[in-house]
Amino acid sequence: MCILFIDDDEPTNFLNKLLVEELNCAHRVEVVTSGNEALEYLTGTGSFSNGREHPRPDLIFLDINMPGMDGWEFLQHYEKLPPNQKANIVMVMLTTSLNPDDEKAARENAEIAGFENKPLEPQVIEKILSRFFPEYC
Amino acid sequence: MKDPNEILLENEKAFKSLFEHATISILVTDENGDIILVNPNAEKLFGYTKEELAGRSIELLIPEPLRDIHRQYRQQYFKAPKARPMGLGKDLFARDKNGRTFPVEISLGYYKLADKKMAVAFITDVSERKKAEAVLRSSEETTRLIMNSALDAIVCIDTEGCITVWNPQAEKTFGWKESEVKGRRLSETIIPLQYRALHEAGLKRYLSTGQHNVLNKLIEITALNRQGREFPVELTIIPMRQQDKDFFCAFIRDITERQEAELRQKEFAEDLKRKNIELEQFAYVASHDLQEPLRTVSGFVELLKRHYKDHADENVSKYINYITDASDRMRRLVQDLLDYSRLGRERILEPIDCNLVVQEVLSDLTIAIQESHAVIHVDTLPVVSGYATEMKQLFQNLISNSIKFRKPGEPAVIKIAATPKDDHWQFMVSDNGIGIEEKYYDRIFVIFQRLHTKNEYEGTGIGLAHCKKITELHNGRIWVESVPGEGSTFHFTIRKRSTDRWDKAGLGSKSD
Repeated sequence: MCILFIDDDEPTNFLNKLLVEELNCAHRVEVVTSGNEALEYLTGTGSFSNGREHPRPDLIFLDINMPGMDGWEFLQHYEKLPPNQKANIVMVMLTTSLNPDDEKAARENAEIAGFENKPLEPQVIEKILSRFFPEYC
Repeated sequence: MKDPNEILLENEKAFKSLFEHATISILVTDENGDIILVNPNAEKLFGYTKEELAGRSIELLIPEPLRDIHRQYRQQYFKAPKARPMGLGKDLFARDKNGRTFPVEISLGYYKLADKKMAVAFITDVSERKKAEAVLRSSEETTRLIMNSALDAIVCIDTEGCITVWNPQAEKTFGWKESEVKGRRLSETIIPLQYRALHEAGLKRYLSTGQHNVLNKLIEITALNRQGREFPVELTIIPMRQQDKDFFCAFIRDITERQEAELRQKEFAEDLKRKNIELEQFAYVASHDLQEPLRTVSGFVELLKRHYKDHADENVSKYINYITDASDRMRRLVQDLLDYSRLGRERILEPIDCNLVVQEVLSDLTIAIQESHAVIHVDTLPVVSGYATEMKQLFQNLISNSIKFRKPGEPAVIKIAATPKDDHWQFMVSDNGIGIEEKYYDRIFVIFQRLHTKNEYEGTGIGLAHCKKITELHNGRIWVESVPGEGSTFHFTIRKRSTDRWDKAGLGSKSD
């Protein structure tokens, strides 16, 4: 199980990573701080083209409000990725957005498996894992 | 008793004098249509001397195309001659020596001299009269066209208050046909009950004293239509006089739709104003109240920092730093929000010399300019009507952005200029910086929206939102054009006022 967090806020990433580590539910937790970086991670380009091992994530937590390329713009690019680069990835929006339009748009987006509010809590992770990765639990 | 011969002589003298001095042209022809006699006025009218005309056929004085028909008529006339007007209502034309054809009226008479029948024609040139008639007809036609096509209802009344004119638009506006209302009292038709007495009294007063307070100006009032519906109209009443007769002409327009639209617009504006005030209030209160708990957090974090200064483990320091950073950022965000909601709160429009404003901003930014080796070209800028603090902030934000987002390792080159347009000034602040992708042209002006992470560039993302609000406060707008990697140009507009000045002759300045 590899989880990728896409969020520009460093303390948030720190807490999320800590949480996943404490739950001991993933062998790998990766963090990128922008949509661009996430695309580079998934396609093995840019700063991720150095041949180091960057495992394909099983689960992505995506923030909406990020500087530059935001969550929605990232999804537009993500949709166009070749299937082998996104196969079996479960995408969950994780956001402080209080905007009902965002939630509605997320529910209507085929790429998005869930819409969760920050802060990320253990129960939420467990719920997601049991729903999308039952064989893993 | 006079000698008959003497009487005859006197008569002839009298008739001769009449003939010579008549202001009408007189021609006498014989049965063959040959001219026998011509009086001086006829000589003058046709341009021939009597010698030239004597013995010539009368058809000489008829326009070519009419000669044959005249000849026929003439021959018929002599079969049963009698005194009568010629032409039987048809227009008659004559021709003079120069070939000019002109309309005439002719009366015919005849007499016998021995056994010869003579015809006498009394001819009047009616060119001038015909011309005047044509002018009158054309002017009547013009008037009729205007009346029929006017979008205003045109209604005239005489001094009795009775309707004399009622154009087609009046029929449409009020529902009565012209034939139904002509001659009726205006006060019994389109004037609502509550104004009838006033109307009658006003009319009387004007006619007796000349005093008025509704004439010659635009007034809004209500009127009645045929169905008895009262509706708003806009009208002007003009007193007129024609051939010593006074009358009044009203130009009336139904403004029901316009008034409804105005009302809707007014309601909409009020609603908008109320919502804006609410929103400002909301942002102000929210940000103000957020400061309080924030101060508490900051205060206790400081306390923790001091407390663990010497014996904190690595994790605790890290956590404390996260809290400090986050609460600092929160404070900045709240402060920015507060500033944003306060923008233009107590605004007083005053003349702003943009040249001075930019100089002030550049002087405030001296250190940043020196450190970045920025080169700034300032064109001559106008003196506009604006809000001093806000205008300074506008230039400050744009110029400091240009310095901040310069290309690494390359000094910023910034140009500031203005162009006068029809109703606004268009300013430009351009740079050679990193530029902005087109898809972000709108987003950069949204509050707290940023294109870069905190690590790349400092800031909360409020600057351009401020700029947008400031230009809108000045009835203007702001937008950007950019080529990523080559630079950005920010344009903004400020409404132009008549008091604005632009001393283009003045020298621009440059600083680096």
